Amino acid sequence: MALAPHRPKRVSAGIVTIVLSLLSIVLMTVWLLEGASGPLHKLRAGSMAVTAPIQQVGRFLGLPFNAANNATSNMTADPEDVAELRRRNEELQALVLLLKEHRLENERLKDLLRIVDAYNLAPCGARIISRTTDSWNRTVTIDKGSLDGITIGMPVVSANGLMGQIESVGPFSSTVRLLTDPRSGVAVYLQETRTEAVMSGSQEGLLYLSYISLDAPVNEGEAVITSGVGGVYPKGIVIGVVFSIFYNPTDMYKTVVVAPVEWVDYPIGEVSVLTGRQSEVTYKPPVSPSQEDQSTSTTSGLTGTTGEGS
Amino acid sequence: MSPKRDHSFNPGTPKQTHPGILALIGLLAVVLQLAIAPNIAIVSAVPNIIMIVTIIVALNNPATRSTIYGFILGFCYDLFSQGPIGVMALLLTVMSFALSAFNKDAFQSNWIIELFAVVIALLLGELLHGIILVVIGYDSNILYSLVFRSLPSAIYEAIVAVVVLVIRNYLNNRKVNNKPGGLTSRKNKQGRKGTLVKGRSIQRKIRF
Repeated sequence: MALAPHRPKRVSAGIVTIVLSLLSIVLMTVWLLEGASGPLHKLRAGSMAVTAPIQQVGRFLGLPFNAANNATSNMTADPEDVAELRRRNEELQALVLLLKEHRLENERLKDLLRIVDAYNLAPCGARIISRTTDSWNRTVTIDKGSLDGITIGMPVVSANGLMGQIESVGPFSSTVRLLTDPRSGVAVYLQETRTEAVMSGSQEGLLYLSYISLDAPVNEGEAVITSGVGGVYPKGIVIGVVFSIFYNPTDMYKTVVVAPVEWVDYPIGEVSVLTGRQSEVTYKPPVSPSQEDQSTSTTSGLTGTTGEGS
Repeated sequence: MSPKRDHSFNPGTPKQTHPGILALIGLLAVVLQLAIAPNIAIVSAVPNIIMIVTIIVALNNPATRSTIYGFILGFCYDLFSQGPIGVMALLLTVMSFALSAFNKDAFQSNWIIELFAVVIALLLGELLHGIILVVIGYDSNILYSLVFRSLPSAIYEAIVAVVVLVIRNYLNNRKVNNKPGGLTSRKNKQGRKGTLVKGRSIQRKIRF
């Protein structure tokens, strides 16, 4: 009896599709249910070690695109706008000098009153190496990771203000979720009216203030600053200014749009990660008059000559 | 006797692509997605190069291979992006299966039909992606998701896909014509003078 030739069994494409689809659904479910320390989140963090060098190369490849974009923007700029910007630049330079003086005075007074900063924040400089690789998230990748002491949740600031928060960390790189992402939220207050609110991003890339009741005072142009409530972001970081306010009498809350001080949607360049622990609140014990006498005798006085001017 | 010129656009690869070449294309797609796509983003629309490649591969390969290929590339996309893991893997698996089930009859005969299919598949793919993200609670507003994310991305990807397909067909045509018996082969140089000009003009009409 002759044996039939052995032919490998072919798996039906339909069965393969069903199996892989089920596997995808399982992966999706696990990802949604697990925490940040789950296996899939760890896998993603680990994969950043592989993607970071590719993204570094991409940063250099993207330089011509950025240069072309900048050149186009500069060429199409209105001369009146340029003149206005120059005038504002001069005003701001004067304001910076004034604020610097106020800061020094503030430090002297704090020293006198023994106020200790609640946030023991140490900035860690980093460079943006890539923007988001998909349309659904507003994130950037920076070139500092867990080996540099970066952990999930740390706030990230640029030269002009708050930019976002660390979302995932690899050994050599980290992903920052920008404020304009719909999943971002920051507790803030308005500088002049002291009205508190929650600021969040949106699909269309704008920043909105939520939960401002109709009778709460809000002025256009006033600064929006982090309030420190919630413990994620430190207090006092500038985000932007109130751009527009609109509401209907039937609404419960006002709709307030915030213009960021820096266009945080697609930033490029350098940023700082605030690596200090927010929970490290330190209290200085009150100083007795005898101790104070001793300390004043060892220093050259309390009138601002203790080196803060440097 | 002048050689016969194939006026129809070569739709690419009627036979299935070699696994090694598929792996190389996949690797290239992932690298391009990571390194180039963020730099050529227009506002919030980042082209999904992995989806484009998966769709084109699915149209030219058998169902089983295309489905596995779609799953692997989708998983890579999920892993390297910031969204939930598994969404793109599911989407590309199902899309690859559906597209490769159709390809045998329709798409291999005419490149314009193939192009049309790719554009439709990209639109559907991006819309489904948005819907899945809203259903699982990753995004809240379906209208905003579709208007501000899905649609701009799909249009951008369709433009990129058109460019990719035109280049691929141009390269395939050159390859066919350079083969022995092809128009630009040495044997047929005599015939080239008499027929090529006319042939080109006809071909241009077909192309564009």
